[in-house]
Amino acid sequence: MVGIAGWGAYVPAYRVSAEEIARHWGADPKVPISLGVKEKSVAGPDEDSVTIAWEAAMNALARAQIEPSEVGMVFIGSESKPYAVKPSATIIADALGIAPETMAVDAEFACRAASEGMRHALSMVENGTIRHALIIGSDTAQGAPGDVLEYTAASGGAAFVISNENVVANFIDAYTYVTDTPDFWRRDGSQYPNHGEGFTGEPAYFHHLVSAIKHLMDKHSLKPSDITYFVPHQPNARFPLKLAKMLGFKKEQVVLGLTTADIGNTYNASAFMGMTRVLDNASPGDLILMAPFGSGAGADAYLFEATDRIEEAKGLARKTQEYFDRRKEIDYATYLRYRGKIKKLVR
Amino acid sequence: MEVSPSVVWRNKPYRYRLEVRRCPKCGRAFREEVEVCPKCNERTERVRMAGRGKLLSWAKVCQVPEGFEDFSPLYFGLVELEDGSRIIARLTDVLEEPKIGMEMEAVLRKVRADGSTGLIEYAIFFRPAF
Repeated sequence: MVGIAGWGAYVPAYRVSAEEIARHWGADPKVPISLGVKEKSVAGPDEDSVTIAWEAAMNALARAQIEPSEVGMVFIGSESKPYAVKPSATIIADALGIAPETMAVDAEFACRAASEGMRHALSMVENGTIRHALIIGSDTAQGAPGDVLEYTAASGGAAFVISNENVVANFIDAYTYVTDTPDFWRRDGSQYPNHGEGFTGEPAYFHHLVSAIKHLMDKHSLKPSDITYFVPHQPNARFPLKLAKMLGFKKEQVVLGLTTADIGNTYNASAFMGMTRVLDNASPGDLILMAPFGSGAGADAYLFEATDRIEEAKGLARKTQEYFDRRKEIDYATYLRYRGKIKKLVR
Repeated sequence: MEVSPSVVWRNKPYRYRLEVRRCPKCGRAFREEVEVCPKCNERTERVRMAGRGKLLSWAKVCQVPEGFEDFSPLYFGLVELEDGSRIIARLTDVLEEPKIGMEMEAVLRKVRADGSTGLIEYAIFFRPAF
């Protein structure tokens, strides 16, 4: 049966606190508190979405215990590609020893591009077109200096190997819901995204996720209490808890996967990151509902059931929490430098 | 153009995967695609070096070359890999002063970017294991 054979995450070591960002701008410190994100992960000066993807993928391949050369598709979703034109997927495929006999895809759909890849991969592996697929969500998320996004836009990656072999979580079903909704965008050539302020909530995040999740749960006659862990997209730590309440989930079904509360929103790795921490802790038979969302807008709802193999796979790579615990706090000026927002003018 | 497409392309095996050509007779390893050992005249074999090792020595460079200002200070390390090979590599994620003998692990990182329009160079660096 097709499903997830390996999972892995990567989070850079650096953290900038919301308090430090607010202090720099003379902003009301209640704003970041209301978002529920105390600090966010920041990529170091030699990191980008490719290097982040590489390490998350290494961890996923280690847990799947498959030969890299047998991977038939490398699919990366990111909205912070190092190149506007030149695929990240080929760099990753070559560096991991997967190339040349593979498909390699870079996709863009705000925060759910990688999830689109997961849907493709599940179908392609199930029908036998490819043997294994590597799906990666990786971002060094952009937030313009002074924008409220700056409190949460973080860096990190998460990856999954989709296969019929060595499965740790069987795929039960998925459903996708998309509309043209202008809640968040970045024009070609523009450095930072724009967003529709309050419009990002009800018509975008909540409407699409509720629609996708309700459809899937109704189809399988599931009640919220039937689900062990609920892992939605998490632009901040407040929206997922409100969404959970709207759908009838309890807080304890959400908190393990609510990784944005620890490191901020890693965009394409947002729900994926939560899923990796859930798999690090799940037991055989646990039912997991993962629901990524991307602006523009669309949501996916997936049902997975953990298998017996999950126990032996846990120790084959570094756990997500270990990356969270490796942290070095930096000040706002260092954050600006590491993200290339300020440059030396003289040598 | 500071970063040459042909050099980036040619250096991929070593820079991306720590793959070298090794002489089966004398054991000498080559980072470049040297197919015949110049000393033994034996055909070399492609091998992948270990991704973990111990730090034997290190240096911190604050006066960095042009094009590396964003990465200053630079750290370099002499690392003895688990397979016995010794290599010099860039160190990264140096969160506190490195210690001789500390465990190191290989990670893919950005070496430099050629301005805002040229190529980006990637390579294996070593960071303190955790």
